[in-house]
Amino acid sequence: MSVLAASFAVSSESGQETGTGTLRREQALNTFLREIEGRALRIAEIAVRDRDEALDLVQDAMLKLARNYADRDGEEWTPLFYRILQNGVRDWHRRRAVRQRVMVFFGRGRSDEDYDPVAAAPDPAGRTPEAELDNRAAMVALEDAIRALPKRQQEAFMLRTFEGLDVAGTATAMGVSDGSVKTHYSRAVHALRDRLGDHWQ
Amino acid sequence: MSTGNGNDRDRRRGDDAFAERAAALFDESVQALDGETRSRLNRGRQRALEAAAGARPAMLWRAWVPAGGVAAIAAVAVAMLLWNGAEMPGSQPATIAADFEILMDEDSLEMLEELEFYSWLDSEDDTGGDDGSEHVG
Repeated sequence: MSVLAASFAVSSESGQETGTGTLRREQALNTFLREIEGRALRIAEIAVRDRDEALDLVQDAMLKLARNYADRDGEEWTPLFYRILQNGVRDWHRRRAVRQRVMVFFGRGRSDEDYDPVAAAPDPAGRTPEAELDNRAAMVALEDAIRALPKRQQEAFMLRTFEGLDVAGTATAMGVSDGSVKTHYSRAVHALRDRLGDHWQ
Repeated sequence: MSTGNGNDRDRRRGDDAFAERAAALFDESVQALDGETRSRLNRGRQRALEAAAGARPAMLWRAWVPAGGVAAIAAVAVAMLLWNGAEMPGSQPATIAADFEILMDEDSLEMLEELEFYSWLDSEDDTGGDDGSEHVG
């Protein structure tokens, strides 16, 4: 075998191994995203109160994770994915606030930046305070209570409770210290319990 | 002392029970996602993986090229941001720059186009338009 042929054989084998490794990595990433996407969507949906917007945010987070962090250890993906998603949610709120100000300036919006037409609309289910607190209604009440929390407390509560991240993972996802996560989470739980009352449980 | 510890323990137990119920309700809501949403998630995941692998060109963003009236509206919007920034003591140049960037993205462009349309509509209302029709009321 000539030197050139030998060299080609080696590079082909190495290329094949790299190709196989890449394929395996893509499959692992696909599996990871498939397992996390439903929970991620619901978390984003609670944060922005709109399913279409939440779908866009989740897809964008998937794309960024796949582009920038696919070669990271699989155990790092969850906090990294949620860090990207939380950044997306924060940007979304910021964009909404800026556009709201422009609309108000041009006399096409409401001066209250917190005004939310979805929230202001009558409850389509026609629930009353006396209505039976079934699981769906309990979840709706929980979502409303979560939205009333400061943003950092929302993030800490949802990442810890809904996604099951530990303190360190939540800290990575939020870009804060472990101690900060504990404080935000503890305040969130107490505020939610106070707001929802004992009957909720 | 022991009562305090007991209260703390009860409180923690209550917190844990609360978190467990919240997690169970959340899981149930994830399980209840409808087929269409699941399908959209699946398509979104495939698109993201394909784009990341370079099989598809970068998506979502396009260059922002304002034209005519939209550019004028955008200029007023930016002036509004600067004016708001001066009014609000907490506003930093970095914040104003970030707001400006937001106004330059595609979704904001659509909003500005709508504003331009409504401004035109208002001016038509004010002048009565050129169709000779009368305003009533």
